[in-house]
Amino acid sequence: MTFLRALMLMVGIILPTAVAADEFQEAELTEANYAKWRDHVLPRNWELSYRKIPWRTSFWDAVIEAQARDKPILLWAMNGHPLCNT
Amino acid sequence: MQKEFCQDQDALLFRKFAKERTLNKGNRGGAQGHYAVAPNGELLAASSSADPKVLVEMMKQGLTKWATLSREQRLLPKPPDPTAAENWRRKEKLYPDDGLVLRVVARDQTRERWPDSNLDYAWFRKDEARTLLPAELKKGAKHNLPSELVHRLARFHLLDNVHALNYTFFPKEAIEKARLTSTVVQVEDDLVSLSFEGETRASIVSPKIIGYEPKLLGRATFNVTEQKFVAFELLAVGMRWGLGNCNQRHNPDPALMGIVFTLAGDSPAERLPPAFISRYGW
Repeated sequence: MTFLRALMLMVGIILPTAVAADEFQEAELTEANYAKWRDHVLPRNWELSYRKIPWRTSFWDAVIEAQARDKPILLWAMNGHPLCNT
Repeated sequence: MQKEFCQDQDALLFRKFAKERTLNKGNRGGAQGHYAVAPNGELLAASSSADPKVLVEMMKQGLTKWATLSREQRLLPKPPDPTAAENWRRKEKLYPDDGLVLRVVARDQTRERWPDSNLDYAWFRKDEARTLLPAELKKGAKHNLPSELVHRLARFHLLDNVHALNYTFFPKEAIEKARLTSTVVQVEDDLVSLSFEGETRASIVSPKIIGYEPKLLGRATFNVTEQKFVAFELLAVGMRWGLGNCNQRHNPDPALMGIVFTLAGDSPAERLPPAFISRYGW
């Protein structure tokens, strides 16, 4: 059971469509450029916007909830979990 | 879940509709994609395009079909058993509630193409987290982190997954260097401030040439009373080279890649297991 899962019970997804290319030129890591490198690597807020959706992290959790609430399920399935390592 | 040998209820339900498509625009292969389904597994709509417009169209299509179904046509005959999908829970149950959970983000120095970053998690049990600090918590104290933990970072977390998950990690013999030192820089009441410094090098030449040689720097704050980290940053930056099995890396030339470890939150999404948790030996 190494694949897939994740889903949501609601709709509304915002996906980035275009992003200006970064021109990050720092070379090897030093104490002096530590903060620049850290900030370069960390996700921008818009990159994390999809995580604001209260996804259920397993398909079965959503099935249980959808059955109880009589709601449809939106399942996002990837090789690797869509919410982390895909 | 796609595999026939898995007979858990979630897998059986998923296989009812997996790989079906009601929209065929820019589809990717396999069972990857977006599905609108009823709780009983009745397919409402599906696509596997990365285009958000196609996804919206798919959801509208799904809701339209949902409105046509009777209660009997959309629901399971009886409430699903919460314990019927335990295979998924095995790794989640290893979550170290009282340990250290880090979010791991990797990104290239120069964008090769989109997407250019990825996310994973790194877990440390409580006893492991404590070994990140010197035994004696006084200013200036230095401590070499246990080799086992640094090797774990180098093998399973200092990886090129920038464009996509690579289903491989570095074997033991690939680790040529793995050193990480913590130094107490300040002690104030219950809080111990640390700095980290180190380096790793992992390299294999078969079945593929692939490697990563980062320098590591970081800082953290440990609450002695609560016995937990309240702040944490570890940054790895160095040359990566080679191509993975399926990480969508197209250019094997050496290039700088950064990886940042920071404290994870506690939402369900932040509790997902590390990609290679099964290799931790827990």
